[in-house]
Amino acid sequence: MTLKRALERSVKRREADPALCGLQSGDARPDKKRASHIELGSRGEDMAAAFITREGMRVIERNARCRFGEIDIVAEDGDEIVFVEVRTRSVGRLLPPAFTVGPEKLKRLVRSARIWTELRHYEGFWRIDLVAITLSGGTEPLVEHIKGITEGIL
Amino acid sequence: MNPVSGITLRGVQAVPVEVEVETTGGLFSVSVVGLPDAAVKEARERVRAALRSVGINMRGRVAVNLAPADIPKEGALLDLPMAVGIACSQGGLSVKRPSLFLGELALDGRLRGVRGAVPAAFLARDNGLDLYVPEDNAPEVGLVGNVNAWRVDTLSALFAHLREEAPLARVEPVHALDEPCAADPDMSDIKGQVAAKRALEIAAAGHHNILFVGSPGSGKTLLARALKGILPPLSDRELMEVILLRSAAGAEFSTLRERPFRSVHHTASSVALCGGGTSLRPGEISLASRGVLFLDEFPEFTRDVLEALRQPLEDGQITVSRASGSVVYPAKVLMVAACNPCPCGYLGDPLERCTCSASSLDRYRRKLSGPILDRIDLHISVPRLTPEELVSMEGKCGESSAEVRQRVTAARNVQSKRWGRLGFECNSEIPERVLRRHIQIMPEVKNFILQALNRVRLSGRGLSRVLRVSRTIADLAGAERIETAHVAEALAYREGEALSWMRP
Repeated sequence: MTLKRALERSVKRREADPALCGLQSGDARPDKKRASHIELGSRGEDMAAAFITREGMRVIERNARCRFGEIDIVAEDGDEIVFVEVRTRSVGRLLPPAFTVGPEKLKRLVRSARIWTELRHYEGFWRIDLVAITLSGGTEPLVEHIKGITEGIL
Repeated sequence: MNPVSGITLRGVQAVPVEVEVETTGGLFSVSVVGLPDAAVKEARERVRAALRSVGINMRGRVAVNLAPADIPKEGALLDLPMAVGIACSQGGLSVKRPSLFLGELALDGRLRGVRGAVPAAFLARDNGLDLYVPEDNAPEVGLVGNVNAWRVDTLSALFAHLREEAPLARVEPVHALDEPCAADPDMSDIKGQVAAKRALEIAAAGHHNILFVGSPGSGKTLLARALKGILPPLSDRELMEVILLRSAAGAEFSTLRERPFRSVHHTASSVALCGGGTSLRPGEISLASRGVLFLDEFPEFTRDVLEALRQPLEDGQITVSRASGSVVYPAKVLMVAACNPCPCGYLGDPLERCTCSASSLDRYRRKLSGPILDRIDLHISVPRLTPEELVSMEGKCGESSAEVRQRVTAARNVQSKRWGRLGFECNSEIPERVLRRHIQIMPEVKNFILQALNRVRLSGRGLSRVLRVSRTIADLAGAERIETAHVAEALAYREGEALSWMRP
C-alpha cells in the first residue's frame, strides 16, 4: 500500500468515526470509586465553567479527549475558540496552581487543541487559557483566569 | 507603495522597507520574514507588549513580510512600522498617506530614539513621504528641514493621530547655531611653540595633513586639540554630511557648527578606523570627515591600519566592500599625527640622553617611512619648552584662536573663489595637472626651486605637495603669486629638520 493511499484511507475512517482517532466527549470514567483528588478536580472544573460563563464566554464542550490528553473546557469567546485548562489545588500545597502547567503539558494541550480544530475544520482564531483555582477550607475559593498562556513561548 | 514603511540603513543611505502583515486563524504566533537580523526578530516581543499596552491583543497566526526580501534588515528601528502594520491588520487602524515610521518600542508603548533618523528624513523629503520619528530624534530631523514629520512619544498618541482624534506635534525646523564655538584649548593658552602654531594655521587654511614630532610632554596633543578651534565653522552642506554620518553611526548630535574631532587610540583595528563590520558601519575616519582625525603615537599603529589610511586620505572618501555589499563613506579629514622621535622619546633632545639601541631606532624608522609619510605635507618638530617659557606666568601667549580663525577663513575664501569653478575647495585637493596649469609662480621662484631640487631629493609628487603648501602660504599672506619666501617655508616643512632623524 502506498503511503498516499494509506493516508487517504485513514482520513476516510477518521471522518466516518471520530472516536477512532481518540477524540470523544463526555466523562468516560464510571462514577464509582473516584479518588479524592479526582473529586477535587471535577469540582474545580465545575467552578471554572461557571466562572468563565459569568465572564461572558459560552461553554461548548467539557472534558474533550483525544490520544494526547484531555481538554477540560472548550468555550467560545466572541469569535474565538478558547481551550481552558483548569488547575485546582487546596491551600497549603507547595506550588500555586498556575505553576503546575509546564512546557510538556503545554505542548500536549496545543496538540490536543489542534486536533480538535482540525477535526471540525475550524479555521478561525483560537487560544489556550488557564483557570487556576485555590480552595481553602471555609472561605471563598480564589479563581484566576490567565488568558493566552502560550504567548511568548511559541 | 504600501502606506506603512520603515527603513533600513545601507551605509548612510536609507532604503525604504515596506511592511506587509497578514493574519490567519489559529493559535497566536508571529513570524517575520525578509532577512531580519536578531534585533528585528526580537521586535515581535516588544511589538506584542506595546500593542497590548494600547489595548490591541494580537491573535491568530501573524506573518510580517519586510520587502524588498533580499536586503538584510537591521536594527530596532523597524519596531514601529511593524506595530503600525499589525494594528492596521488587527486593530482597525488605517494609514491614508504613504508614511515612513521609525522607532524602537518600549514594552509599555513609549518610543525610544534610534540611529538613522537623518537618512530617513532625507528619504522622506525626496519622496514626499510623511515621517513619524521618536521624540529623541526630532531635533536632527528638524535640522534637515522641509520634511513633513511628526514627533511621536508613545504608541497610543500615534494611533490617536492616525485615527484623526488628537493630532501629534509636528517637527519644527531647527536652524544650526551660527555663534562661534569656543576653542578648547585656545591658541593663546599654549605657551611657546610659535612654529607649530604657524604650521597649524597653514594646515587649517589649506587642509594639509600635519605630523608633529617631539619628545614626551612637549605639547603635541595640546596643539592637535587646538586645531579644531581655528577651523572655520561648518557650512550648511558640510553640516548635513556630518549629521548624516553621526546619525547613521548613532553618535551624539549637536546643532553647533563645530567641526568633528576624533582621537583614535593606536590599538584601533582597521575596521574601527575605516568602517566595516557586518552592517557596514562608518569608521572613525568617516566620523571625523570635515574635521580633524588625530592619531597619537603614530608609529604604534599596526602597519595595515596605516596602509589602509592611504587611499581615503588621497581620495577624500572610502569604499567599504564586504560580502554583503559595498558602501562609499565620505572621509575628508584633516589628519594630525603625533609621534616621538624614537622609542624612548629623547632623540635629539638637548638635555636628556636617548637610550635607544641602533636596531630599535631602525625598526621605529621603518614603521614610519614610506608612502604614508609622503601624504603628510607638514612635518613639524615640537621642541620641549625652555625653563623660562615654562615658568612664565602671563595669562595669554600670542594670538587667540578667533584671530587665527579669521585669517584661515579669509584664506579659504580666496581658495574657493579660485578653485570653485573647477569643483575644488582647498589647495590640498587640487590634482597635479590642474595645479601646474593654474598656479601662479613668479619667474625667479622657478630658479629657486631648481636650486633646491639640486640639494634635496624630491619626487614629482613631493614637489606638487610643496607647491600646494606654498600656494596656501601665499593665500594666507594675501599674495596673488607664489614668492620665494613661500616656497622656502613650504620646503622647510617637508624637508626640514623635523624628520632629519629619519635619514641616518
